[in-house]
Amino acid sequence: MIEKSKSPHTYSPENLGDLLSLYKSMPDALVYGGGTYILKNQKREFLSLPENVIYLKRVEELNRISRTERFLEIGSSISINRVLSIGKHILPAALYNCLLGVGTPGIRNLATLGGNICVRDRRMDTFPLLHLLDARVELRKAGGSRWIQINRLFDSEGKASLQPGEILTRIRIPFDEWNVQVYHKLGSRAREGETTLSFCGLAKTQKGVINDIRIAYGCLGKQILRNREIEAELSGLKVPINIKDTASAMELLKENMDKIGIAISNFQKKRAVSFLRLFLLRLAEV
Amino acid sequence: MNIRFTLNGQDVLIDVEPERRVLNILREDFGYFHARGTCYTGECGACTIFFNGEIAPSCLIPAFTLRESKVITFEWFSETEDCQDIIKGLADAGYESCKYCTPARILVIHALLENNPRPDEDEILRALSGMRCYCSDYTSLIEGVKNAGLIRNRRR
Ligand SMILES: Cc1cc2nc3c(=O)[nH]c(=O)nc-3n(C[C@H](O)[C@H](O)[C@H](O)COP(=O)(O)OP(=O)(O)OC[C@H]3O[C@@H](n4cnc5c(N)ncnc54)[C@H](O)[C@@H]3O)c2cc1C
Repeated sequence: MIEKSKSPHTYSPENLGDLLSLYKSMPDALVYGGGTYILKNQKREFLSLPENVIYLKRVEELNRISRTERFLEIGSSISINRVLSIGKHILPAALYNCLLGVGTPGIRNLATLGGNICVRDRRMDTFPLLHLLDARVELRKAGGSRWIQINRLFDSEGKASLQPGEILTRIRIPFDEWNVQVYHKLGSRAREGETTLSFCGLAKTQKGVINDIRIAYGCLGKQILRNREIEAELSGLKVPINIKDTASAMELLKENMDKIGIAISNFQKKRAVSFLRLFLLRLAEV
Repeated sequence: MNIRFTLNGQDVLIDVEPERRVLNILREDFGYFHARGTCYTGECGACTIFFNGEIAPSCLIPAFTLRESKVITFEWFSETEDCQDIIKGLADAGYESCKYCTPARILVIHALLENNPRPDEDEILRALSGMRCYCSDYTSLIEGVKNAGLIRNRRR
């Protein structure tokens, strides 16, 4: 018979002040959002949790959504489905599609946006897109708070920059005029491996010229793939992009994928190039 | 750990280990067997319940998150007119399932129709994407969900 380990002590603070002082007093505690990643591969009857667990969902301040003309601010404990309920016309279109692809409807009711961003051992679906959208996150601990660009949350090796006792509290997404927005995901996160890949593409075109263009790939473990060299090459080009420039961007992407230190399968490489080509074709449609 | 919550409309107080799955609590402590334990990873959807008014896989809900929550299982829902509308809508479309997944599927359909009384085919398929039982014939399932929506709209 499998022996059950000792039960954890669980805490459910109801306001931010209590949460931060609690976490300060036990920085080794597990911060528990919706738990859908934490519990993902546990098959035993009793879930295995560390000695101290702090449940975030009851913290009132982490459950707020606010909107100004310039940005949308989402509390980290808001579920993915609640973010979706903000609506297609308010959320950036690519983010809406990305969120719809996270897990299943039941999972999205439990899973939080903060949890999706904070998973340590891989970058989950929203991360590369929020990065392209210039999202910022608020990190708070007892006695201090800071706002950082979301891409600063993890270093180049994927190590989290959260300090002991620090929690991600809010996500701020600027509204911007991206008139082409694309999000695609291949394969399922449940079986993440050599055949999963996500693509995020954003572009601003004006009078037939690309003013700004951003491209990133996800589902690549701890890293995301963004190549600013390709973006710089494409910026300023006229749409539709001619065959030569399209081929050159695709070539640059291939070279880049061979150089960087991320393990990418041949399947992923081929799909990455196809996604880029489709995105560049899409630009001509606006 | 003592936990008070509402189960199928009744206030209950239980003494459980905080890391126990709600799925097991419902089945073993309350005898609510319609939530099925199949994958235990949140993938198959067979253990779906309503948790604070929203569908969720009960295998991924630990007991400590139950405090002051509201849980509804298929046993309670099956007594409602809303459930009868769905059963009739599915039957009229000639939909047959393996019965194993039916309770969870009905809860998922109810959640869909509450938010969207006239779902289109894509919306139906997306809503049911969390159900991994392949017993179903999707043509009659889609038809059945649309029927259920119409029956419900007429009754209400
Ligand atoms: C069946 C299934 C399918 C899934 N499919 C997808 C998918 O398609 N795409 C996808 O992206 N994910 C998927 N996931 C993984 C997971 O559901 C999501 O990534 C989810 O958004 C994680 O959020 P959570 O609130 O459940 O995080 P949790 O599991 O609670 O936490 C994840 C990590 O973040 C930390 N954390 C949580 N909140 C905070 C905070 N506010 N501050 C600091 N640290 C914090 C936790 O300590 C933990 O390390 C799937 C999971 C399952 C079970």
